[in-house]
Amino acid sequence: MPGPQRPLIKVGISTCSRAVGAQETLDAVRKELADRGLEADVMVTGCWGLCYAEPIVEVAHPGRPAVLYGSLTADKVPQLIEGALAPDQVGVVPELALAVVGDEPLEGVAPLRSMEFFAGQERRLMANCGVSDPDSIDQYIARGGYAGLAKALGMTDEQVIAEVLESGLWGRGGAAFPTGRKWEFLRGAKVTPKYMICNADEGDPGSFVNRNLMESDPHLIIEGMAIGGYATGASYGYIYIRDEYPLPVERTETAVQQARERGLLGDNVLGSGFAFDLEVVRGAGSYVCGEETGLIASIEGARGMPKIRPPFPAQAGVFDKPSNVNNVETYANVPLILREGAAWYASVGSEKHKGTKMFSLSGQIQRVGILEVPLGTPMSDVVMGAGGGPPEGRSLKAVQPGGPLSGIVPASDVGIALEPEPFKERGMFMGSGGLVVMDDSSCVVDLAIYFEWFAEDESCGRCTTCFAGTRRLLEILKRISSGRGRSSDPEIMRLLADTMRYANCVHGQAAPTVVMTMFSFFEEELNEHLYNKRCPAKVCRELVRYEVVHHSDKLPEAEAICPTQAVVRENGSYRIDQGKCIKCDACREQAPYAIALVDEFGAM
Amino acid sequence: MAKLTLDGREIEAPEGAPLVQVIKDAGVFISNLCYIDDLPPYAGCRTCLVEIEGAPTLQLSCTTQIADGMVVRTDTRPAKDARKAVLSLILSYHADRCLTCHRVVKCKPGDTCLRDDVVTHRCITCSKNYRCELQTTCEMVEMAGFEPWEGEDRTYYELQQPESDRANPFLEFDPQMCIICTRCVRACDQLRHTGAITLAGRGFSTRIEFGAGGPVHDSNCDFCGSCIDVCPTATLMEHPNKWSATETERWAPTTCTSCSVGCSINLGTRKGRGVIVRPDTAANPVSDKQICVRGRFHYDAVKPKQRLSQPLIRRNGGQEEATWDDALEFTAARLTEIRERYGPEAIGFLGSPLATNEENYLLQKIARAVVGTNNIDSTAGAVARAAASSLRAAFGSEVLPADMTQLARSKTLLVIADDLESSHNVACLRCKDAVVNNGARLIVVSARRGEMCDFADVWLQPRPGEEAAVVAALADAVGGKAEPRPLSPQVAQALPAAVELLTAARDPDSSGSRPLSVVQALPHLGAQEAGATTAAAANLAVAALGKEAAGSLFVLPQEANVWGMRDVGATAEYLPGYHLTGDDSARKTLEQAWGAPLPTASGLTFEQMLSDDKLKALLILNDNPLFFAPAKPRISEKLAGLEFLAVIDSLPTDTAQAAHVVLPDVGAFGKEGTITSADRRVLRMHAATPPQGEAQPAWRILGELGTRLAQRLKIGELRLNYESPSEIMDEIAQLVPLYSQATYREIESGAQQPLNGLGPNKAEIQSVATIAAPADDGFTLTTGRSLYTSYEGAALHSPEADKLHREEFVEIHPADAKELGIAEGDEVTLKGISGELTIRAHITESGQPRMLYVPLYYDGGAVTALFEDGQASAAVEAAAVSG
Repeated sequence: MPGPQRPLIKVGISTCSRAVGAQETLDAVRKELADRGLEADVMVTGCWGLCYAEPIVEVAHPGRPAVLYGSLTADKVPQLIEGALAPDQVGVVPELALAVVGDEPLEGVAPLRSMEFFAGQERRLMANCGVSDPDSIDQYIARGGYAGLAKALGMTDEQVIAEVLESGLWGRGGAAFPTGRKWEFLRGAKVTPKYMICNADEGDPGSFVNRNLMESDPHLIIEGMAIGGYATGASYGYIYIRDEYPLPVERTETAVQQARERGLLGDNVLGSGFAFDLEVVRGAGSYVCGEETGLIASIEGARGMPKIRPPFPAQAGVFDKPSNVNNVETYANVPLILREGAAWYASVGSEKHKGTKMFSLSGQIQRVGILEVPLGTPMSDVVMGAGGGPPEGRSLKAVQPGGPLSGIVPASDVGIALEPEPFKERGMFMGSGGLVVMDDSSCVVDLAIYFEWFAEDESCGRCTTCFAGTRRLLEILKRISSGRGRSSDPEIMRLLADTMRYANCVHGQAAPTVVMTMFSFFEEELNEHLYNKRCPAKVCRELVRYEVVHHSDKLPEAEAICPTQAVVRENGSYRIDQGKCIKCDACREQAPYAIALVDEFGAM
Repeated sequence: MAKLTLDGREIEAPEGAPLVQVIKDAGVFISNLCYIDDLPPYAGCRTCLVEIEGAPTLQLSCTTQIADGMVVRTDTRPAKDARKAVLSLILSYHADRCLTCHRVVKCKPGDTCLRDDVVTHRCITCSKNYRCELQTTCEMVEMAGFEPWEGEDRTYYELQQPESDRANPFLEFDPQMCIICTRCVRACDQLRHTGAITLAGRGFSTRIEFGAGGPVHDSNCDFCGSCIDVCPTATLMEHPNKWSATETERWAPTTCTSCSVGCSINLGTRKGRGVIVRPDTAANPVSDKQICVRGRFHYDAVKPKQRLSQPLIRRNGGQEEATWDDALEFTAARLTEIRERYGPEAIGFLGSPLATNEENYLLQKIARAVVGTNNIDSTAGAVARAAASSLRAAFGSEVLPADMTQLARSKTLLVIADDLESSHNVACLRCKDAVVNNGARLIVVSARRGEMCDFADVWLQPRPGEEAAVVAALADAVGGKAEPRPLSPQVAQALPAAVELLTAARDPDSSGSRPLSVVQALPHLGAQEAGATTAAAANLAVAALGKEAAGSLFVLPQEANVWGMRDVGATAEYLPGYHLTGDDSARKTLEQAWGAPLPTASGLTFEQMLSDDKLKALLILNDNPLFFAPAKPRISEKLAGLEFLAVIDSLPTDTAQAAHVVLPDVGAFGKEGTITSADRRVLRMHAATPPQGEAQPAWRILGELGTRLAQRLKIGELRLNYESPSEIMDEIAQLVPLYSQATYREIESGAQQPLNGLGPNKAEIQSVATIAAPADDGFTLTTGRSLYTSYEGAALHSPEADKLHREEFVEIHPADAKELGIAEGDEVTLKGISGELTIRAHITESGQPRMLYVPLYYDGGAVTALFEDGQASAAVEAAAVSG
């Protein structure tokens, strides 16, 4: 591809960058160019995954490597344009620059590879993310898109499945079931029509890898589904996107339209006689719609409740017809496998697990973002290395690997490989790739309360063991958190967890995981709550109180701000009236030196 | 069949069947609180866990399908413990008042709680106590010793519980008792196709809601009570008598007499009073587990003390109580006198479709063999006679082999009924079953919009009176005749689609479904039009199916026992067993059998009896001309002009109040006997309640009266006194081939009777005399049976007859209402030729412009005053009541 003849400015527009003003940045870039009468192309791209550094603007001069500029809010645009495009300048603004898209430093700006965030990455699925325009099918095709589909159409359906089987690809949604095997089930189904369904109901808090793929490279998913349709005999597809994702819906719908116009979808895909079309369905907003049969029920227009198995989706899925449900990321792998071959695909990864996996980093971490690493990469490389670990002054406490039902990995185990087995051994799930990092300011009982609340609130209401079991766990956890825990509680919770495994779907079965991992890895902290009525992290509100521990000039301000007049002045000194205090923390904010949070025994 | 081992026992079961069903059928207890027999599993309660050899964990028996060689254990320690653990979760959010009380072992049903200070919640505050599935399950699973959260505060008591809904007269909905098993949701949707109940909310806030979450009566619930039958707790309960029903003493299997489907029900009684009705699945397979609001709740429409308890004789300007001896002697004497003065032709008899076969038989026997007249009929006679005569013209017989259990297996359905949902609710349900479960195509011919129209592929909406013409046009088209018939534009437009479906019905089909079922609900009024419609329907069946036609034509009379009456000879033209009165050899055979001479003169129908002044005396059994017969003012005058009027009834109906003698009968639930359903099933009725006061069952009254009459008239050896209705049926079985296997010793209640030569012997097309549609300028009034009003309540003009007050209106089309200046609920006066009626207006698009509809049962049949003899619809003037 020949380089641009004019300077090219790329502005990443995605959900996360829009949240910090990327749209304004884009407008400002256009305005600034017009005002200055500068000649440059402006292009909208997807997202590099550098969420911590959004908005990101890339400036490329003909014949030179492009430079990425981070945190480029609209107010910095004049400086950027001035420095990077004004004719008398060098074309690089080092003080705003993040990295050079290339291998060599440029004007003191380090290359992308040297950034910790990019160091361990193997960007295959994300090859186009932040680079190309998601709304342009031409750019996708120019970068090798739909070659996989074309190649597949030249093979038999069995060969396609064999290729996928050989690659070792397994479902990225969390279940880790071999994709090729799943496709074989559907291929074997006698009833027609058959359906290919893409699960884009990414509901785990802290997971946003699918969103990034749909926003940055929607054609990759469409191509993967079309290949799947060809391999299994499915003639129609649904992409079920959660309604909270308006931008992915918009971009995917555009992409589907474009693919139809180019004959890449429709009655006669690429003139091969193979018919495949698909539509985008907007999810109705329930966590369990991310469970494949719940998703099927939702597509059918029914209440989003996971169904009873048997029958399995491959026998009777959507509208009682054979169906296959895969995650966005799973489908995204398929075109690459077909285009580059299974051997290439398996060239990275661990001994048992081949290929790459995308992860999103969030929580109490320095660099929030999305990255792609080979399977088997140590989690510490991702969390502590790329992500930079917890904020300064804090230490790592735990990582929640893939959704609220996946359990919590203690800091001591942060070095485990990112592949299913190490998680399974610990009674957890690797999940779909949302790594939520928690530092030592979190309390494990408080976390368990949140996760059980989430599991209870999102239960579909079918299984007693799920909606009543989570409720019981929640009640017991709340009791422990308020210092009223009983010595019999762990036993009851274990019995509950045992009983809850008899739920219909994985939501109910996995709901007690977090409690079980708490028993396995955080028993000491739990016992502190249970027996000593102490919350070591000082999070559980009923186990802590505010006290005046020093004198300070700020105390009158604390007295003034207290909404319940709990900061009392007596004989010139201050104390907190515990009966009045509602633990709102306002006083401590005013007088952090003088007022402290202490536990039951007055320990700070 | 697959072989499996269940708790060490070898049993056989169909491959693929749900294991829970097999375990239950094998008589082994398995806790299950959400499974409904024969429906797909829901698997919500998770209490039916069992151990299956080879499975890694315990398995739910409802989702496990039977496979050959399966080894199942329900009784292992882990399975029992797991079931207890799951059940304890259910109990955490359900009131435990009946489970944990320390006094529970000391209490007996009905004990008043001594309520010491430890007992805070009392079992007697739950109306499901002692008959609760959850309670029984807890006992069977031995929850008593299993208290995993000892000292726990149950979630139930931590939460503010929702209010219960007791706003309607039928169904109580108490959500705090709900365990979210969703049986009601599925019963309403999959068994009733109503869908009034939904699952709302999520997580622990998941709850059951009616309609959009408002009160039950604001939803589309039609109070069939199917949800009550499946509810395992006290969440859904009957409103009437729910406390009394806790102590139900006896269950009597009997039959609902609200329509001709003849649903089998079990009536539970306490202290001699009906307190609860449940479907009786052991008898009529058409109704099976389903009944309607009438069957379930109308047992309670009339209180025992409202029934007649003493014979009455008209004396001193009023009806005075009399002894049985006086009343019977008086009646016998008066009838004898009149017979002697005017001859037997001056005496008429009215039987009733509400009376049993045995009673109707006995009545006609008295008329013919004792009094010597064929003057026997009923107010339901004319319509039935007209329909029967059309059937005879088509098939050579009015007894059709059609079987209503086959409705649900139909591939195409033609329903000719004004509102089948209301008139024959369970038959309608079976049609819906065909549409929903069998993918049947449905064509509805109905002047008013009914629920059936929502299920229909094609709705043909004739003008009132145009039904016969529409069906005849369909028959012509299917039969390949192109006889142009002038049809209303809205019918003509939809007709081709209907013809296409009916024509396609003949295509061969390998599914084993029935190609076509034609269902006609007979109206109450309008014999000629009903007969024409039946003729057209028969033509259509013949045109579509040829010789098979008779088995696919369902002619449903309105009242319960219309066909039975005709079978046993309670009709002027036929002796028992369908021998014409003019048939000498048949008459001779009967004379021999009875031992008495029989009249040769043909009898008078009901209309003929009151057409002139020749009739001097009338004996009415359970019939109510002042309720059912058109031209009410004239009928009233005629009845008053009779020299003698005797009424046998359990209620002081308008007709009974006009009588010289009233002989108190017992109500339908106090009777032994049989009735015959629309598809010729002979259904047993068992006495569930004792007679009120001195009331006697009508068969005994007739026997006694007949004997006294026979003595006075010096008729020789004639059997009129029977020990029980069983002996009467023995006699009927000898005379009517259709009932040869209906003796009480042999009868299988609910089975279709063998036709024994009475069945169809041809399949012919007949000409259909269609009646010109009424002129368009005036209003046309129609009437019919609607769902909620009880006959017994209406016959007493009880304000409770329509407990929901859904039927106390005249339905007016919005366009007409606008023209007349009428708003919803305004009073409207309807003026017919001989009467008028003032009634509140209900503005609805269910009818058509220029069409009015008043339910027949409104205010004791008040609307019949506006109709003339033989009319199906009446021309009326309508005006808003000013002021």
